[in-house]
Parts: sequence; structure tokens; C-alpha cells
Amino acid sequence: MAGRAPLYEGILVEHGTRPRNFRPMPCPDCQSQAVNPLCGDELVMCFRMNGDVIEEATFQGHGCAVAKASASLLTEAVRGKSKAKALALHDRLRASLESDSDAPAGRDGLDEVTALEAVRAYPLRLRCATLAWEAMAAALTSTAPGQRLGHEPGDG
Amino acid sequence: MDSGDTTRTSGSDGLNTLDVIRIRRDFPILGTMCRGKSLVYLDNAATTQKPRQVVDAITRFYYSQNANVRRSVHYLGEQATEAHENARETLRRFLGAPRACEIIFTRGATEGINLVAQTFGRQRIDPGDEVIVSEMEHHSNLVPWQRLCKEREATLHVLPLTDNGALELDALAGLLNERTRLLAVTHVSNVLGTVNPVARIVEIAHDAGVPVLVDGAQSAPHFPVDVEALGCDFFVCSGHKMFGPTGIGVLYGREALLDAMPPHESGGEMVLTVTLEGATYDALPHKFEAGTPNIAGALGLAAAVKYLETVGMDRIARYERELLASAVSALRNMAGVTVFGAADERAGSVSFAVEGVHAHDVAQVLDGEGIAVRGGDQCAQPLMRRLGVSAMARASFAFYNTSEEVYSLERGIRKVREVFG
Repeated sequence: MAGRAPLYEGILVEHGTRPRNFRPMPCPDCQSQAVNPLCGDELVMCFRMNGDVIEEATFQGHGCAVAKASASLLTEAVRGKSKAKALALHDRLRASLESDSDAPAGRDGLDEVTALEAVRAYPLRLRCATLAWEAMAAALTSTAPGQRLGHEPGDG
Repeated sequence: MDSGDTTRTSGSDGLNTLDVIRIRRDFPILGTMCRGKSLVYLDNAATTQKPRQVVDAITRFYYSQNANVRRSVHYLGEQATEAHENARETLRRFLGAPRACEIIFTRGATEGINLVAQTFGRQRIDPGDEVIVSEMEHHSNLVPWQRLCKEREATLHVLPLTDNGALELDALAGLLNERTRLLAVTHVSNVLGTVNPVARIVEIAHDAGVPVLVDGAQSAPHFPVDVEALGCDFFVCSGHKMFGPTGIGVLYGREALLDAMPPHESGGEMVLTVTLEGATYDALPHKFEAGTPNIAGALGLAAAVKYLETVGMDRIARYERELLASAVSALRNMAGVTVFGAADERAGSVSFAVEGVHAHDVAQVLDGEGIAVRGGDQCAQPLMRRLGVSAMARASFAFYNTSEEVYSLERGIRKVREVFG
């Protein structure tokens, strides 16, 4: 692994240190919290919906640069997308991050979150990168607001 | 030490540079190159590296002594049994326990604490009784007591911290009363490195008739421990944090207390007579060692302890104290770095935060420089909350670390500041 690309570069550091849409949302239509006890990350993702379309996404909480950058990129990437498209983006991102293949085929449609690709070389940080997305998936698929996702230590 | 390339040390000072160079030769892993950089291993509070002498002892057991203990009358059975009991004697000597039967082999400190909670605790703690822990405990010396107190409808009291990261000793007397059944406290904080005045704590607790369990996972690797001098009633430690293998540890307990406690696990090895209706239990220490024990682990741990004795725990303590003090002062003098805790006496660990950078990111950037530190909640979430953070980075030292490695850490932290500047 001597030659792996640095994790902290460009967009990831930029979004990690100066995250977009990092603010509370009064009365969100749906929200969910995700916790990663391995590193103390705790993110709350909030969404304002217009019918089936995400009108606005914000997040709060604390986390490492990877988790914050991922949440920040998420809030920008899903704005204006339908629920189904946002969830599909999550699936594609996860499949890409978990894939061993370097072939670009699996990364179609990930332009908006391409900075997260660096995490592929850092398997122990995968959870950090997917935390916000898991919270989003829970928020968008749950009817009950304020759902909390807990994870056992060692699950990622 | 029993291999050819031994480390001869002399005098009563700390280790000198030459000593440490020789010692490092006994730890092959310290020569590892990580991503093109020389390894700087500063995660010793999580687990320590193992000298050849430990690995050799384990290999020797499996190559030439392997048999079950206390069962088989054949040659190997005799060899293995003797080696296992010799290992117990080595640990007794190392911890200053009066009797070898007071040394129970466990899987580690966690199992030792759970054993006491499930036997001593269940037997002695009734509804309305009280147990005391401190606010700086590792989860392993907190959660077993929470579970026990819940099960027994007892109350768990917490001895608070001062802002310096020391125990609020003045508050202890107020927590002790006639319903207090046990005080469980760590010898050294795995986060702050604070060395607690355990002998004094024991004195105060004993004045109130309360027995004390000491979690020695972070003390036994760093300075001489004498359970008799501490006066504690139970003491636990983990082999892998003191240069021995994983999966082995020790519970010391006063003979009278251990004798009165029911067995923990039951099965073979711990019984005298068994009928279909019932069983009588073996004497100490075997009563608490059901099943075939981790024989190779015990031998490996004994080899680790002999290694420490040969180098000299006093010299290790003096050397490490200076090394840790230089690390603490270097970190304190760095812009944008906060060191947690300011207790008078420290051992092993220093935890810190880099302004505006999450501990996990600190650890990741340091890893890129070959430096291994811990970043996270350090298995002490209540302490993190008390200090107002969710995670911190920790550098933890052993006697094979050098002042060059402290400089490497400093350079690494400057790199962290550059990346997130």
C-alpha cells in the first residue's frame, strides 16, 4: 500500500474543513441520525421535501473530515433529486467504494461525489464515508422522523 | 532472559541509548517499514509488541513441551504442568503476591474484572448495596459493574475527576458507607496517563471496611507493582499490554476472598469429585480455571515478565517517565495542540487534540508518516464526555520507544496542521 493516493486532498479536505449546508433545519420533513462509535462520529441528516423531490438537505453533528466531507457532498448532490434517485446514488456510491475493481464502469453517475473515491484505498475509513448516506437512506425510507441508527463497534 | 542475545543492563539509572538500541533488537516488528516510512509505534496502551523471547517461549512449548496440564502422568504432561505452574510463580513474584494460589490465569483484565463481578459481586451484593467506580474507568471496569448493579438492584456511585484529570480523593469518604461492597478503580488511566494514588485509596476504603479491585492493565507494563504494598484485594492485568501474547492475563485476589467465592465457569480442571448429582470444587487457583487453560499464553506471559525483570522495572519506569514527560512538554508547546490532563504523576499515555481536526484524521495523517497512535473514544466514553470531547488522539509509550520517536510525533503533528491548515 506504499503507493496509495493521499486521502486528504482537494475537494475532500475542502468539504471536510468547510462543509456546505452544515446547519440546523427547523421542522425538517424527515431526518435521521447515524452514529459510528469507532471514531465518535455522530451525524444528523435533515431533509425538506417538495412531494417526492428533495428541496433542501442539511446536516449537523461531529465527525472526522471524511464523514463531514461526505455529508457535505451529499447535501449538494441530492438537492433537486427524487427520493429514488438519491437512494440510487447511495447504492452506486457504496458499490463503488466496496468494489475491488479499478474499472471506471461502476462509477457512472458519481461525478458529484467523485472526491470520495479516495476512500477506496483506506478500507478502515469506509464507514466514515458512508455514515451520512446511511442516515439519508434511513431518513428517506422511514415514516417516523428522528430515527437513530446505532452501530456496534467493529462493524466497519 | 534466556536467549543468546540478551540485554545486559546495570546501574540504577534509567535506560541509556545503547540499552534501548539493544532492546529494540529483541522486537523484530519495530523494524517494519510502513508505506515507505519507518514504523513509530506509539499505540502501546492498546497493545504492546512482543520480544523474541516471548515468541520463542511459545514456540518452545508447542515444539517440545505440549501436553494438557494436571491430567496426564506422562513425560510431556509433567513438563507442561511444571512449566504452567512455574509461569504462575513468575507472575506471583512480578506482582508481589504472597502466594501462587492467589494468581488466577484469565484471558485478560476484562475477564478478571468480570470474574470478580460474577462471583464475589453476585455473592456479596444485595439489593440496596453500593459499588464505587471512578469517572476515568475504561469501559471494562465500568460496564461489568453497571450490569451487576442492575441485576442486584444495587447502586453504582462514581468518584469524580478534578479538572487536572486526577481523582477527586476528597470526595471518596463521602461515597463510602455501610452499604458499600466494593470499590473498583484503575491504577493508571488509559487515556490521561494519570497514576492514581491507589495505596491511599485502599487505605481510605479499608478504613470503611470496603475491599478494592485495581485495574492494573496500564500500570503493570510501566512501573513496579507490588499488590501487597498497594494493599488491594484484587488486581487484574492483561498479558498483551505487557509484552506477552493476547488471550492471557492475571487476576490476583486475596486468598481468603478467593476461597470464599464460588467458581466462575465450571467443567473440567476445576473439580475434585463429580457424581451425576453434583461436584466438589478444587482448591485455589484451579477452582477458577475451568477447562484446559491457555498454557502457551501463560508461558509467553511469564517470558515477557522475565524479560521485564531482566531489564529492570525500576529502570523502565525512570526511562519512560522522562520520555513521556518530554512528549507531554513537546505537545504542550505546539501551537494548536491541547494536551488532556495535568496530573502530577503520569505513566504510559498522553492524549491530545489538534485544533479543528478530528482525532481520526489526526491518526490517519500520522499513519501516513509511519506513526501509529490511537484516535477515538479510547474505550472511555464517560471520560470523553467529562472532558467535553467525543474523541481524542493518544500516543502511548513503552520502554523501546526513543526520543527520536517523540520528534517524529512532533513532525507528524505539524504535518496534520499543514494538511488541515
